[in-house]
Amino acid sequence: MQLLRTFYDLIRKLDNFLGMAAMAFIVLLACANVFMRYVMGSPWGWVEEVTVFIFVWLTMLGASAVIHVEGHCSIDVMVLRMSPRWRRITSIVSDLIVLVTLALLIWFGIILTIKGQTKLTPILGLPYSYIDASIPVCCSFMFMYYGRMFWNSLRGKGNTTELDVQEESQQ
Amino acid sequence: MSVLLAFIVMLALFGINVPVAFAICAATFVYFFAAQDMSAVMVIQRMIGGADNLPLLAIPFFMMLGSILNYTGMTQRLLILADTLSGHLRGGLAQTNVVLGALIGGPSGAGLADAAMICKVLVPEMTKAGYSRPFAAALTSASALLGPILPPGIGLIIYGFVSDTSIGKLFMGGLGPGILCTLALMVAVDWVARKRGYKPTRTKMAGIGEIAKASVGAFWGLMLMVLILGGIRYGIFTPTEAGAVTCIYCLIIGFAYRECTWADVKSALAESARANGSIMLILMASAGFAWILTWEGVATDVTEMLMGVSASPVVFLLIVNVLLIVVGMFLDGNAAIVVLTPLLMPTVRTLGIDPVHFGIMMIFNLSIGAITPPFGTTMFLTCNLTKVKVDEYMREIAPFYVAFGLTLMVTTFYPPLSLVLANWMPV
Repeated sequence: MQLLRTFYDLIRKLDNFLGMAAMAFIVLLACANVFMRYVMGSPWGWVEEVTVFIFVWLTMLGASAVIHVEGHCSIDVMVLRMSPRWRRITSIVSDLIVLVTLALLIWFGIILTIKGQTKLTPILGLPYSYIDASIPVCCSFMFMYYGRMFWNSLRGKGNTTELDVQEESQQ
Repeated sequence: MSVLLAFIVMLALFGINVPVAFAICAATFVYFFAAQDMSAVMVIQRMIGGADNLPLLAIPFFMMLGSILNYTGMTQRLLILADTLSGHLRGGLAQTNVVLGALIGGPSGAGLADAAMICKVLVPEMTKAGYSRPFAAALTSASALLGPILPPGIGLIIYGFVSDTSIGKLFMGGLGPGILCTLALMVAVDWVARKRGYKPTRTKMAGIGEIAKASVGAFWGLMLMVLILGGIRYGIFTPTEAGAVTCIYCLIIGFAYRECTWADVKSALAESARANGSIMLILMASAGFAWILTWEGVATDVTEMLMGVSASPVVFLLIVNVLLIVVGMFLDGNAAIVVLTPLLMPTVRTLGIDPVHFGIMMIFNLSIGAITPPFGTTMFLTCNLTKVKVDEYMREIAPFYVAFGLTLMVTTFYPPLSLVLANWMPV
């Protein structure tokens, strides 16, 4: 259990850190290319491919990091009007749906990643697998986070998109 | 038939609080398993296809710009300027709210983030000064609506990308309607303030000296818009790169004024990475869903249906106005742009409507939908942050709807308002 928790925290930190790094990297790279084009007169051709590549990863990493802080946006107006009992049932059902969707994304994502090995990007000749892999990898992170939330709500700890808040209140 | 099934599944999942992005994905999968022989790998491929595009990089850049503006104290300086400019008017703080919405909303470009920021900064002060809380909440969501219309807006970027319209032109095109909308909101605020006796914050108009001083303080913040639009106009950078360049520009100024630290930069990075993730995941999911509609040829049906009703652009625009506001009430604005633009574009082209003009109108409509019950996202955010009940909010927002309605009509039926400036952009 302790090992599991350490692993969980490690993944969380990793995905947060990589997201920040990716963000900083594309901002700097885009600026560098403006400089190269406007001042030096010869932009780097490969920048486009690399930034787009990082962008897809940034999106998926951010999409998993957001679960811990703001949570993904959802429409809770109906749920708020339900009785606590029904609210709990719908939260279990909706978490299950999210988990199944994520499982499908991971599964078909892996297939696409394997297929993508032979498709190469036009300038650098990188296999598309490197981009495609962002979906199964980050969806696995998300699966883990939502899995834990689902487990918590099954045990009757209340559904928690705000894991940090809950952890603090437990301490 | 199966498209309808997917739609129903999606709405049902929205209803039971499944996050929007996953609800759209799940609906796409349902369609694939129910009606397609093709492997569902296609879904993932379309999702990636929706994200690996250069123009969309502007989204993380402008999200980052929004966070940096707050961390570098530029927001604060702009607030002071907004107060000097409008404090002497009837309903001083409320007018400041609108002016700040316009000053900030321009550069940051995301309605939700602006609403959150104004909620934190101005709503507490407004309540202290005797404004009713629901009024403050309604006004905040109304002035946050200026963000997506005034350049640069994320909605404009997404529309430009999906419909293959020049993003630079869209940015310029948003300026006219955005300014008109700001003025209309100020008139609406004045009307409410007169009725309720909301006082000005200062006794008389700020002197030239004071305005000059506040403008100097906010100078770098004001230059942002000039930098963005000018840089794009003269081809120094693309609209996408404009976001990255202005981020660095703000950071340099923030560090020069010693208003931001490395810790702030780190939080801004993490914040914008998350915000981008949440927006883009919905967009990627919508790209998958939009593919179904293309595959099933829904666009042709929609075109035929719309042309069947009437071949006059006026009637078409009226129908679309109503349709988009309703859609905006239920669906995330960016997702709606990705799904609906390909469906409507053929008709727009056939009727000879300028895509720039249409885009501005579309963003305007969807943003109005976002502040409208029952499902408007901006409305939820402001109500949650200010602890106001939706019913109270609804009563207070009525005068602003009048302002929006009038601006929308002018924007819709007087194209030069958006097109004169748009055509000044060469690309």
